Amino acid sequence: MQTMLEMKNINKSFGVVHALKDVNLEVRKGETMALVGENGAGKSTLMKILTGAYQRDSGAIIVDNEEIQKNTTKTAKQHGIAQVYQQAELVEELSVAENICLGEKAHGRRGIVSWKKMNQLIEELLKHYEIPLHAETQVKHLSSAMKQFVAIAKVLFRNPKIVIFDEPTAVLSDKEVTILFHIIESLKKEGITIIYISHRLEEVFQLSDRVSVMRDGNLVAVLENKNLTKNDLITHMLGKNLGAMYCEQKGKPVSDRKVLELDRVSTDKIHEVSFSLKEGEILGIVGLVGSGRTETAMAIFGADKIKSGRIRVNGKEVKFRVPADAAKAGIFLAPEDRKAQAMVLCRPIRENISLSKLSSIARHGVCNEKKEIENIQKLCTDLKVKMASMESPVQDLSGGNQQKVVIAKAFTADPDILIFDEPTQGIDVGAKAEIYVLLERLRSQGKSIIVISSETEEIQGVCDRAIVMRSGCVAGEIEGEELKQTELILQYMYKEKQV
Amino acid sequence: MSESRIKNYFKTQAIPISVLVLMIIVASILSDAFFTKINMQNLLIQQASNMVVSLGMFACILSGGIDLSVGSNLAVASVFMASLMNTANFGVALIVTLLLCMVIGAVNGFIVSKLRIAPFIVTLGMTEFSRGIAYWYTGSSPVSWRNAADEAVMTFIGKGRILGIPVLTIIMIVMILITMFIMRKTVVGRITYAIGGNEQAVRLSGINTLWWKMFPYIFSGLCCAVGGILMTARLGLGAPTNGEDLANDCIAAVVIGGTSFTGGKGNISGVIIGVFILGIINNLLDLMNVSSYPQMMLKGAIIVLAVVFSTIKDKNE
Repeated sequence: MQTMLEMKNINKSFGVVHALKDVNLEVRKGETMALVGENGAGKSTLMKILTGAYQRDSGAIIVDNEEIQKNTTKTAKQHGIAQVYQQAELVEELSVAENICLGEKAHGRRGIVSWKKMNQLIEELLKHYEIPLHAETQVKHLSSAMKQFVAIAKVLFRNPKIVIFDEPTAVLSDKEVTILFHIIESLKKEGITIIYISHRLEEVFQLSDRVSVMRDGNLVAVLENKNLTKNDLITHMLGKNLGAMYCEQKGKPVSDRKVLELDRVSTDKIHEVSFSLKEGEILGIVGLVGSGRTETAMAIFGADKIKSGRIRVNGKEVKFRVPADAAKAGIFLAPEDRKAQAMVLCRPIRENISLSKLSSIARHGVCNEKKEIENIQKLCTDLKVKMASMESPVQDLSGGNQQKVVIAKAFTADPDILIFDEPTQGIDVGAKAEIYVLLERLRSQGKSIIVISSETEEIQGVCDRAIVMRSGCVAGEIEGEELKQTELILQYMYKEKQV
Repeated sequence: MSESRIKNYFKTQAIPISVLVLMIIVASILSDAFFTKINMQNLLIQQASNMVVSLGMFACILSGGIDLSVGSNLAVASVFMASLMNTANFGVALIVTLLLCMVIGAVNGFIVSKLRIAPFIVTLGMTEFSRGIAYWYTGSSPVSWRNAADEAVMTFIGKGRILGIPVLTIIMIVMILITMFIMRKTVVGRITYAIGGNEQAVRLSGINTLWWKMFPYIFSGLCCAVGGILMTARLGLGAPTNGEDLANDCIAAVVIGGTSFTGGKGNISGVIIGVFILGIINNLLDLMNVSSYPQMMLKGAIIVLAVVFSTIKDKNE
């Protein structure tokens, strides 16, 4: 088979950090190459060099038998290299078609746009790839998942030869993932070469022809996707055998006492949600994006206004006006969007961790830094947070370590009830396993935990019981052996409510 | 103080420090009068009230807001201080002035925090409102004081010295130290930084941002009161026209000192450097007999340049 792309002996350093060490990546024409590795392994850096966002220190890039001397974003585009970015940059006020055409001169004749022609062309494109979007819809009315599809269409419109997908499923629910996979299948049929970066190994198995594994700036293995097992892949990624990802010694609820009860709670976004959390239980809430799972957490935490229904903590009815009230009542929330909601990125790790309980380090409003530093040093060593110093800003940390900082916040706050919204989103397998261990540890300290996730496997691996949500309502409750049946969970997630 | 903190400090302050050093060198070359004891003291005395008000502005910008009303609030402080000394005495005048300005700040803060109106608009409105109070209260003419005891106290503040150091400078340093303590060591300082960095994260960490968000504006009010009293003491009278361009100068000083306009990043030593950079420019151009109009032009250019540099720096990070 013909080689489409060759990256030879690529080196790249940032200051003293040697990010890429003699990396050789070879992709055949029309194949789907998965690129996997832990956070910080060098996947993104390598792709940025390919798209011209970064300049390589040494090495060669050959596309379709033509060497690219100085690669810029412009030359990359000329060679048909296009990337679908994780966070789609779209103009909210413009329509789908306008966003897709943005930057292309195709329809401007003397600077005048032919709306009809443009919309028609885009409708055809959307129909061709079976993307459930309309050309004239305004982007601001779309969900984040649908915006991702606009970004994909934007790339496809430019007739690329090599398409790079970087974690395309991060914001997608399972149903939307099937749409995406369908698009990728069509691209394959058209002979377009695909590089697919993902943390979700199931996707890698399903989609790719071959897998390139990166570790610490090296490309350590290129594997054929035949007879490849998950364990093999993880071993290559980590350089060691991980064993089971989920905790083998799972705890159990301490008692049947209900620490948290929701009784027909409604807000603008959820409708009559009722469930309860037992002492020492890990309860899962699973559902698609927009099913009301995050909104339920926000309602419990006092961040969304409750229109009707009752919430009881330890049997006592509570009314939280603001999140601070919920925190006082012993509830902790690790929000869905780590960067935007869970931490102050520009502030030091130390201050971020203490933020969840400033009263514990302050007297009369003055912070006791000595005591604080001692405590946090101990906690960070304990949780194995990899950091240069606790004074460095959290933005310097990788996703997994940022999540550990959020968990450190939970330990500091020392609440009775913890809500983790997508605790492992966008973090690598190694860090995931560590986070699951920490959840178990919190449970062993007598805490009751709610884990919200869109990954059914995660809910199955971590939780004792799960609530399935769909369009703002509780669609089902699954316990014990039933929890192992993925089919059943999916049924609740997608199908109409059974009366 | 750990090593990484010191390193971090020089990393963030590299540009303002080098500009200040450069300014001093250029000024000493251009004017023989610059590096004299008298001129240095003048510089310190002239900058005292600007410095104090800039500290409040710093807190507001740090929290992601801004206080455009500082100049008018300073005028309010100035006229109330002067006239209350005639009807009551120094002590009463001092307390009433401090409280009044803090109330004005609290009103700013409450509207910004509770009603969620953009700080720019709220404090722009307050600029007019406060200036109106100052003119209305005085009938638009300057106010002086006659009581001999008050006269002595005010003269001591405005012109007195302790161990050869001007009292104005000492008060300025005390205010700087107080602000440093608040911003670095206290809960409210930490939350101010955090709110500027990511307000939603602070809220979801279980902190009631409503009250904490008011703090910078109340503090700014306090700084305006102190700054106004210093200016009144130095000039020997309270005038409703005081502090006309003050907001511009303070914003410029804070921004030149490396404080991020979006909030969350910055420190007080930067503000001090910023105030002196602007002070030296004014002082030097005065010494060289340049008229005040080109001075304004230069200042405007420097403000924009400072923001351009800090934006470029942020992008590179």
